[in-house]
Amino acid sequence: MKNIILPEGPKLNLVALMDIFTILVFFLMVNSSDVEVMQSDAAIKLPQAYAEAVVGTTLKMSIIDDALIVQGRKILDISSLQLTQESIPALQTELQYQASKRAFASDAEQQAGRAITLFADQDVPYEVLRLILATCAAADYRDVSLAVDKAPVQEVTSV
Amino acid sequence: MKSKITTLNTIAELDITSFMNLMIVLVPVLLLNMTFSHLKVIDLTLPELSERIVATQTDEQNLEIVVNPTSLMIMFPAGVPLHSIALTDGKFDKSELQTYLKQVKATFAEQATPKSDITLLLHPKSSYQTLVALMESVRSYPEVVAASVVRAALFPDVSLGDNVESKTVVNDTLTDQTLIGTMTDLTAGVES
Repeated sequence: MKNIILPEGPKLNLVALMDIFTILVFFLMVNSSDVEVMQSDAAIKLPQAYAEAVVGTTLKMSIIDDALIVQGRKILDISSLQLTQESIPALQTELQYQASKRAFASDAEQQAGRAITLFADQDVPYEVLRLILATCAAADYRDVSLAVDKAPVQEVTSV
Repeated sequence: MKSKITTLNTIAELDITSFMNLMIVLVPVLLLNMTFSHLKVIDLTLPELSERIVATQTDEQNLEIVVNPTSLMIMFPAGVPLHSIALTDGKFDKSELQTYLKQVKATFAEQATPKSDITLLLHPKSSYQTLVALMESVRSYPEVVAASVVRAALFPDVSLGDNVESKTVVNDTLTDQTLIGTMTDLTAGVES
């Protein structure tokens, strides 16, 4: 008679919870692959546009307020630029210095030029951008990525 | 009989306590690390200096969009206005532009001269936002194919230039244009 031992109390059924957690973990792992974000972004209001490509680990050039910054080092004031000139000597010197620190990784890279990512405010006028881009091209930084804030998906217009 | 009942009720259960612990730690860690950032990039390939076209662009068969302070002018061939779109505070009607460019693209296809390049001639005071929005709009447009949205290519090879003459008549913008970049599109969807 005393041999009958029934399990005591109901067991907690955790199967559904486990399912959720497993799915959640995989979802988060996939989504958190691009963790590295620019921390100095706050001051810059990037332009909005649709784009697919993600930010690579390239040289970073940003325009924050009035300062032109390459890899965290201030190069010059935008307001002191002479817009009529062909390129910006100070920026070109800096870019050449950055380029001298690293050789081309491959022939393909040499073909495409060195990579640089530009973080600029959406209100920067074209005349300034043109000068900066021209200087980048002169310093062989020809693979330019323009950082944008991914806009909400545009409505599909039917013809 | 009694012993049978006992064995039925002691079927081995999976001990998932340690797994649960791991999950409970992993989920908050990953949640905290997650960045809801929408930072993306648009690729722009600048030509080599030797290839740079500084002189007058004489190619008559150039499709252009001239950006003036208050309007966008679509021109083809170069210098001949086709269509004008209002530009207020650097903003324009994206769908109007794309609808028009789709027609242009279709016309090129009909005439058996498919075209994928376009030149943007920007006014010096145009904002970066206008430039980026224009680039995005002329490269591709969203299209529904088999119940999913894809990007259909419009004019993915974008060149940039100056619109120096914009204060006067737009007709002779060609006189002093400098092409500083050609964009190669790596992300465009299907060809329409």
